[in-house]
Amino acid sequence: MEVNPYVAVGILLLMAYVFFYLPAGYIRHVLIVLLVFIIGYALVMTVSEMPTFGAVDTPAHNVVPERYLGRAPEETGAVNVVTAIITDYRAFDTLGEVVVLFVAIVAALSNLKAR
Amino acid sequence: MKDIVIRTVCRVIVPFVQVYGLYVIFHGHLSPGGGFAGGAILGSSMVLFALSFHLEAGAQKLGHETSSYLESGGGIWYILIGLLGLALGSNFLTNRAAGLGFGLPGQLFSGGMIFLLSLGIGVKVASTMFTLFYNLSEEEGSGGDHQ
Amino acid sequence: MPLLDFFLLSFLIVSAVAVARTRDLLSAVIIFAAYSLVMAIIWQMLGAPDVAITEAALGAGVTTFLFLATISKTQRLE
Repeated sequence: MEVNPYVAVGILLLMAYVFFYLPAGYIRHVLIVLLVFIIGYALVMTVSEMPTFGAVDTPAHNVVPERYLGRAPEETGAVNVVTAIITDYRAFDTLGEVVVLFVAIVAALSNLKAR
Repeated sequence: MKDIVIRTVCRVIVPFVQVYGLYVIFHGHLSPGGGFAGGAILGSSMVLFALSFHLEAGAQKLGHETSSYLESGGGIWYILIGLLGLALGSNFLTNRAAGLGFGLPGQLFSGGMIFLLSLGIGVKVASTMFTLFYNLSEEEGSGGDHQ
Repeated sequence: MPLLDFFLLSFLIVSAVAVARTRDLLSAVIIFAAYSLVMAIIWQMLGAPDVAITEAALGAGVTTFLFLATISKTQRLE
């Protein structure tokens, strides 16, 4: 489904206006319900454009998973391909996750201990 | 909480949960699981102990300072393993290209640094859980008799 | 859709609405733990055991006691 970008920006502006400026009342309720229907329609349209579950011609079945599933055991030595991807092919990404954990605990400690 | 049923059940159950957490960490490259899941299980076992007994009892098993050091040490361990690949003449966090891969695929000691990285992640996640829980449930006056 | 899938997915929807609608925060946390457990079963049925283990440990375990610790420091009713 092709979406006109002007329409999308208009819907976003209408949302901002309704949420921040419009006083509570009948019109606000009607507009909120209308916006919910528009967004729900867009989401349903997006889902209906997705390929069916387990179909052969999905983008998930192109050459990339064959490459990883076939060559991960010999390239990394790990039988479990998920762990091979997490800690070998994308190990730098996992380093970022470790940093996220560290930042989370630093934030929690600095909030809880700073009485 | 002074319930004898909860205390007895937890005393029996906690070692099994910890062994399962270690299994999930160490078999991360063989079976489903890995550092995050195993670390969460380990941390949950320690929190279960601290909940069923007392917060001070849990703090005696794994102190505050020790937990913080483990938490930082997990991250430093991860970076050190990454720098090992750099020192062996390859890129940061490389495994087989740096000559780290050893063992046959399917055995426990295989996969080079994946095993060590999972250990670091697991220790870090477990101590993060315990430290967060301890700091959240610690109170000034009463020693943590919460719901 | 098999009957078990239908049952589990409808349980997910009902518990997700119940978490949002419950005024008692302690009850909401317990319902959220049940939600995570059913979600873990669904991950396992979809063929993702890694995600299932992580969801069961983090969603049903760690999130619950962190929320409980937070509730014990604040107030229980919304």
